[in-house]
Amino acid sequence: MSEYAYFANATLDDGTDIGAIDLEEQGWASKPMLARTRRWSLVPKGTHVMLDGRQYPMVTIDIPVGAKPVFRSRVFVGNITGRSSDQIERKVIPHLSVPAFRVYGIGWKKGSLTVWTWVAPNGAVETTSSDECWVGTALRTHLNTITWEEPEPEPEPAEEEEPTIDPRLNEG
Amino acid sequence: MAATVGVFVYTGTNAGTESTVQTGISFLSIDSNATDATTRQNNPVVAGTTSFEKHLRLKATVAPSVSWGNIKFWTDGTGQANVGLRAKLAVGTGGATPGTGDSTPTASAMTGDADAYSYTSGSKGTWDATASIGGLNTVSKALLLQLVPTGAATPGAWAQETLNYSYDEV
Repeated sequence: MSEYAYFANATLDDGTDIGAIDLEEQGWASKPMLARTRRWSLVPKGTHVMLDGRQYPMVTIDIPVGAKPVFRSRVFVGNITGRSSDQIERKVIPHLSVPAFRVYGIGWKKGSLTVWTWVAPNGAVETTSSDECWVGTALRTHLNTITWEEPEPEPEPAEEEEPTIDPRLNEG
Repeated sequence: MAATVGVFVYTGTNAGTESTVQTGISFLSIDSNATDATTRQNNPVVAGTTSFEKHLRLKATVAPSVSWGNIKFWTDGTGQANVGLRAKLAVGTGGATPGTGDSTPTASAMTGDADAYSYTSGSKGTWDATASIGGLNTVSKALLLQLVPTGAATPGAWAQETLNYSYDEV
């Protein structure tokens, strides 16, 4: 099943468009094609929607002469959480209600410099020359604040029976 | 096809025994990947002691189109008073499951570890810097976690913590 929200589109140095590059298929990164790519795009497949129900945006970048296009997806997971019912019982269980999400990055690499343009599933777009994807990190943090763990049922404490008093003791 | 990457717990000698994919982990006073309430109640982490280390690796159960890696780990930066959470990142070697170079889980205080809460969104820890771990059934380096409730830990519910990680896929 296709999981990525995007195809890639490469416009080559002679103006040829190579569309619908399936980034989930092994071998999509044809070196001859990448070497000639001058414009590099993320094109929504139309099969996925963002967290707010909108369609993913199209993102296009220029590839400088001598640079090669790159692609990466980054998955952000917040599914390990800790809770405990008492001091001596410690458990880490997943956030059942917090979805992992994927951000998509396209960019170019020339020498030691890599410039990324990331798109997050809330429509945020960021261009950076570091390895960090701050829109993804910020979205992860945001989701962690508005979702919560499914509580695990805890065993009921044993009920202590009320001492019964023989009513005859109160007579007379 | 996009990869499927899950959390696995490793127990036993050199943490060489792999669990099934985990939907949760428990901190216990035994070396176990069990997550049920009965096991926790029978093997509690007594205040003033350390839990058995929990050895985690990520594993690709569905192959990526090319590879996966570059794993980061972080927390929100704060925890509950007197209940420490320690982390030791990038332990052993990844690659073919179950990986190599890990140690046998113990309940002794870890060495070479750090406060897990020191890894934050602005200062992520590197769980595994390897850019290309591999394909199907490859695992990352290990992340070791250990709960450290001091003797002064307040009885009652432990404030919920969310631990985050990210990985790249190409």
